[in-house]
This record gives sequence, C-alpha cells and structure tokens, in this order.
Amino acid sequence: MLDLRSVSFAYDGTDAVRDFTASFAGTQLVAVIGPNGSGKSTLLKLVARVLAPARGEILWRGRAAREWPAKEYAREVGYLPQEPDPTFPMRAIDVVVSGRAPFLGRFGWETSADYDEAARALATCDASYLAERYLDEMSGGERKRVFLARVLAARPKLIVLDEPLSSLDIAHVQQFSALLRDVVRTTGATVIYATHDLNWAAAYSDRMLVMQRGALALDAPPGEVMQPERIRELFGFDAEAVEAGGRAWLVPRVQR
Amino acid sequence: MGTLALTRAVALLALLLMVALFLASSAGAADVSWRAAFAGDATARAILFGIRLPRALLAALVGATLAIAGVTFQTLLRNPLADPFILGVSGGAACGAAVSTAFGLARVPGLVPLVAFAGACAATAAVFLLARRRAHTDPTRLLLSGLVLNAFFSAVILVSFALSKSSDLTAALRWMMGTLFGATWSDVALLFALFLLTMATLVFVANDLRMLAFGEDDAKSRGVDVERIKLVGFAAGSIVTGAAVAVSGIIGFVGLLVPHLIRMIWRRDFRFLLPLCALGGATLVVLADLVSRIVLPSSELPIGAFTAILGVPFFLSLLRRDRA
Amino acid sequence: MLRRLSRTAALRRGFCLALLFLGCHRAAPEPAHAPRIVSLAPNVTEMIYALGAGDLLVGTDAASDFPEQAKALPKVGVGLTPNIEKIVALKPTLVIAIAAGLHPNLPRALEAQHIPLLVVKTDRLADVARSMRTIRDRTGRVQKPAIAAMLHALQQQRRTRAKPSRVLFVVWSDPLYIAGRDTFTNDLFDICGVRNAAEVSGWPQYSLESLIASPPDLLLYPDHSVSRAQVDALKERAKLTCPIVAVDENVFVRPGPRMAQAAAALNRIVDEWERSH
Repeated sequence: MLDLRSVSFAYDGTDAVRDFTASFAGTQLVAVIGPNGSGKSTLLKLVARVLAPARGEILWRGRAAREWPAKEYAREVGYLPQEPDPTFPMRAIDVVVSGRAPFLGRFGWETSADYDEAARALATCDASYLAERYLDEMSGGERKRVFLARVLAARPKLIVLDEPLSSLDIAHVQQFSALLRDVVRTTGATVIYATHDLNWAAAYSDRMLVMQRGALALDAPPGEVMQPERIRELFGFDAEAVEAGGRAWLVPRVQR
Repeated sequence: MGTLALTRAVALLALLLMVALFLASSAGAADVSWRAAFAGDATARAILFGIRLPRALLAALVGATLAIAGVTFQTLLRNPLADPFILGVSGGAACGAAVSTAFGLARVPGLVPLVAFAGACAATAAVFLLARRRAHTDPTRLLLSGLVLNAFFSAVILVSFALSKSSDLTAALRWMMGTLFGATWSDVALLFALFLLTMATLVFVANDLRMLAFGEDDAKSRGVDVERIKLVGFAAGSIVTGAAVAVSGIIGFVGLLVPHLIRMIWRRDFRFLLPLCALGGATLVVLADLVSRIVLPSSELPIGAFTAILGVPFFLSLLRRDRA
Repeated sequence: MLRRLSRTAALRRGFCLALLFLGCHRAAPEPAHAPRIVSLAPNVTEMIYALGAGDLLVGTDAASDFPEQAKALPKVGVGLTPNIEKIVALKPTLVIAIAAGLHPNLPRALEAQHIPLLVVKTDRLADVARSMRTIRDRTGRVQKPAIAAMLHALQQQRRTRAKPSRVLFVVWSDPLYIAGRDTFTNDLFDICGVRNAAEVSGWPQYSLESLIASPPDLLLYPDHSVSRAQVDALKERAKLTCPIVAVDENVFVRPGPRMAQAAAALNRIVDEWERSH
C-alpha cells in the first residue's frame, strides 16, 4: 500500500535520504535500523508527510502522498515523533483524544464517540489506568504508551514510530516491543518503527530495513540480517552469533 | 464532551467579569450612584456613562486582548514564558505610537493605532528572525531577543521624545507605563472591533492551532498546515497587542499571568483556554484599574503595578498547590 | 524620581497642539455668563486670582496653594492626570490647563464630556501676559488692570549690569538638571541683567564636567525640591566655591503673575553678591 520510489531528501545540501525504494503492505512489523545519522528519522518524516521528498515519489494506496488532502492522509497514516511533549500539563485521555483531530471539522469538538475511541486505544496499550493522570506524573514507559494510544485513536492503516524504544529501560523495551506486536495483530495495520537496537528489532519484527548514510543497504527478514559478516560490513560491529531459542543473537566478540 | 465543561467555565468567568464591571463602574473619586443616574441626574449620568463605563469596558478589552495574545504566543511557541510584553511586541507597539506622537502625527485620526500595529508586527518579525536557528525557534534565544528589543524600544521612546520639539517626558511615560486615563467610547469601539476580529480569526484556526502544542512535526503529521497557522496566529496576536498598546500604553504581565492562571485551574488545550483567557484577562485588568483609581483619593497609580499585585499572590499560591 | 522628572517635564516646552488651541480660543466671543472654572496648574490659578476672577474658580489641581483662598477649593488631583470624574462632578464650564505636560488623552476625555478646555502656554516669560489676556477674555473680567501692573512691576526690576554675573539654576541635583536657555528662568536672568552659566537650551540634564569646567558665580536651587544636603553634595563633587542660595520655589518655578517678585528676589541676591566682590 505504501510505495517509496527513488525518494531523496537533503537538509541544506547534506543528503539525509538517498534514492530510497521500498514497498510496504499488509499486517507486519517493520524495523528500520541503522546507526545514528543514517537517515531513519528523515525517512519516517517523509512517510508521515512532515517533510516532502526533494526527488522521487511516495505513493499511499496508489496515489501520490502529496495529492492526498492533508487530513485524509492523516487519518490513514499515524506518526509518533521521537520526543513528543504537549508543553503544558494535560490528562492522558485528553492527549489521546487529540489523536482524533484529523476527523474533526473546523469548529468541531470531540464527541463521546471520539472519547470511546480514545479509551479503546488506551486499553489496547494497557494504559486504561492512566486515563485521568497527567503526563508529567508518569514514567517514560507510561508516557510512551499514552502517545502510542494517541496514534491508534485515529485507527490508522499505517503507523510510523520514530525511536519508540529510546530512553526506555530494558524491561520497558521488552514490554513495548511486545505491545507493538500486539498492535500489529489486533489492528491489522502496518507498523514501521525506527530503532538502533539490532537484537530487539530482530526478535520482534517481521522485516528489517537497514539504512546506511541515507540509502537502503538491506531489506530482509531478521534471519537474513542477523549474520556476523553482514553486520560487520554494515555496522562495523564485530559480533559473533549465539544460538538461543532457535534464533541467532548477536553479541560482541570479546578479544582476550 | 468538552463543550459542556467549557460552557460552565465560561459562565463562571463571565459572571466574575460582570461583578468586576459592576464594582468598577460603581466606585470612583466622585460620589455618584447608578440610582441617581437612572433617575435622570445629569452629572451622575455624565460620570457613569461618559467616564466610568467606557473606562471599565476599555480595561476589560485591554485585558482580554493581552491575555488572548499571550495564550496564542505561548501555544505557537510552545513556551510558557511567551507573552506580548516579554517578547517585545508591546514595546514595538509603544515605540511606534510614541514616535508618531513625538513627531506630531497624533492629530491624524487613526494613525497612532496603525503605527502601533506596524510597530508590533515589526517587533514580532524581528524577535523571530533573531531567535530562529535552523528552522526552529530556540526558547532561550527568543527570550533574549525580546529582552534586547525591549531595551532598544525604551531607548527609542525616550530619545525620540528628547529630540522632538514637543519634548515631553509625560507623553513618553504614558506609552511606557500604561494607563487607561481619559478612556472614551471611541477607544472602546476601536478595540472592540479589533478584539472581535482577532477572536473570530483565532476561533477559526483554534482546532489546528492547539495541535501545535505537541510540536510542529506532530501537527504536520496530523494534517495541520503549520506555516499558515503560525502566520495567522502571530499576525492576530500582533494586531490585538498593537491595538491594546495604542489605546493604553504598555500594561505588562497580563499576557503571561492570565493564561497560566487559567491553565492551573483548567488544564486543557488552546480551544478551551482561549475564551477563558479573554474573560480572565478582562476581569483582572478591570479590577486592577479599579484599585489603581481608588487607592489614593484623587491621583492614579500605574495600572501595571496592580495587575502584578493582584495577580502574583494568586499565581504563587496556585504554583505552590501545583507543586504539592 | 519620576515625580521630579515630570515636574521638570511640566516646565518644558509644550505641544504644538497648544498653539492650535490658543488660536481657536482667542477668537471666541466673550461668554454671556461668567464661567465656572477648574484650573489644572498652580500658575493658572494664580493668574485667575490676579485677574480678580478667583470667585469663578470651582476647583483646582492639588498643587494650587496660592493665594491662601485657593487652598480651600475642591481639588481634582494631580494636574498632569487629573481625576476626570471629579472635574465633571464640579460641573465646570471651562477647564484651563498649561500646554507643558498636557496628557494627550485629556483633551479627548473632556471633549467627550462637552467641557471646553483652554490650554495656555507658559513656557516663556512673555507667555505669562499673553496667557493672562487669553484667560481674561474668557472670564470677562476686564476691570482690574492686573496685567499692566504686572508688566510694570517687571519693568521695575530691569537691570543693566556692567559685568553680568553668571548664574546657574539647579532644578534637581542628582542627576543634575538645570534651567537652560529658552526658558522663563533664562528670561528672568535677562531682566535682572545676569547671564545663564549654562549654554544649553531647555531643561536638560547637565554634565558635571561642564559645571566644573565653567563654574557659575552664583548657584540657585528651589527650596522644596532640593535639600541643602543635596546641593552641598553637588558642591563637594563639582568643587564649587561660589555662593549657593535657596529661592522660594513656588515663586521661581511658576511662570505666573508673581514673576516680578521672583525678579526682585533675584536682583537682591545678585546685588548682595556684587557688593561682596
């Protein structure tokens, strides 16, 4: 449903995304991985229409993204920025219901149906108990779940998450990764998320896109990506593979 | 769901404003009563309808105007310190008004508000150009720019009055200290028209503008035309600030204090805060002006002092409660 | 400090607007009924009493304290920002203000109440007689030859001195504000045959360096606004050796009918100084 055709984007002459071509369809969890500055965030912003490609084309359901009316596109493609923050204290339920904004008319207010959607989205994210709490009273993991619920409140068909696992401790990384799997299963959406943690991405995703200096270096299922020679080549990470639970895990090779 | 809560809050604050207006029009230096005015006493009518009522209403409009400019700037900039006074927008307006007065342009009807508005817009533009860094408005740079611009505008006001032939410090002080002295119905009409226009504009974009609270990228991804909304918001905020300063000079603090007060009571988004700030700002300035008029028997104290004296204790108590 | 500044400001050259008003009102016909007047400046109050029209006053600003009867009149607040409610409550048919320091909102506010406002200019000595004539025409009190008497008294004080002493009038000591050229104080110096020790014009802030570079022969200061201690501190800083004399502030800084008295006082001070040198 989402097609990127030779998409390029540059900030002030520096290429951030170069000649990127890929297609996404169906119910799947896609991890975009790559070192810092490899263009993951920019790629997701292009998909979310926060940025417009300098060259190439992004098609959503066969129609160029820029030709979609902004609000209609926003109803189908949900985006979670890296560090969302509402500046002023807000209740979780109000944050989540603001995800319904693309459905409101110019002077429209959220109806009880919108609040029902918000409550449902909070429930999907196991965050119903947070509804009446204020964001500034929550832990990082709780805030992340509230913001994921905000994206889900619009029932998007494509969900784009920028580094949702950053600044989470390891228990919450596991929790949130599992939550992403659940979301894919229960909503039937395509979820694309950026991360730089190889093992977590490999453990939970259906497909991994490896980015290197703005270009797509590899697009493959985790099993194919997680090979020491390949990883050394792509990341400069000297790793060895360890078998556990029928999967390959990459651990640092320690020289003694 | 939100509309019912909003209606209740608006009704409450509207009632408060009515009480404030009643008090402000009932108390003053001259001993006259509404009863006498309705009985047909000419002096009572002249004082109540010709002096107190326009002054109280102008106070309400100035307060409402500064408060909606404040809440708009705070939302647009995602910065709790944004306020027409701190950003230098009020200073720009006062500077425009003062310079045109100093050079004798005050006699051309409608020119001073126009120049004040131009000053407000120029200040807004300047402060954002100064604070902008790689497509982002840096809060620290923004406040620093506002500070520097304010100092510059004060200097220009003083120097222009010192250089002009009609050199007169009281006139310069009038713009810098802010007063509602000598308010007339034509001031009320002018500011009311601009207030309505701005309020209508802001209500028109409110649903999009409140989305900026989560950041520009987030708003863009929700289908908000961020650049257009920012332009509309800043223009609206500058227009009303310019108009308010043109009729009253600089009354600081209202644009900062009122939105925070309202937000501490009703922690909701911009759509909700906008009408409540208008009413809250109006009430605060009406009361401040009342106190500034009656605290000494027959002279007036600077109104800006009383917006601070009335607002700050309330503000601090809410801040303490908020921390607890 | 602000009060001092606005006091200085009140002395300053007024708006062009005032000229406009003067022009308009001079042509106005004499009123059929004697007006009820509110005066917004002490020198205007003094002029009205000098013209024998004190009975027409129904109110004054807070600073109007001369002559003695003026103290008993209802006060309408500070002259720069008078209380408009109080003015209206006195039901005046004429409000008289001075151009210097006139609040730009005052004319509009009174106009909205249909109360005529007369703005007189009192920046120079010659303005005093002119303003008194304007006020006389508006009050209809022409029998008392007050203006001629005042001008005569002033002429009596005119002196030509062989070696004019250099006098400085300090308005405020820290920062130093002084009476410069193109002021009624300077006009007073001209009458008494002395020179202003300052070359600058208006009521400027004056540099200590200038004061030290060309010290005056005589330094005058107003007895209410500036204290002896303040002026001594100035003397110390500027290493002044000249005599320092306090003058009656209400006579010296009010360009009104008592200017001849001010001239007489100045002549006495200068004569004494000349005798001692």
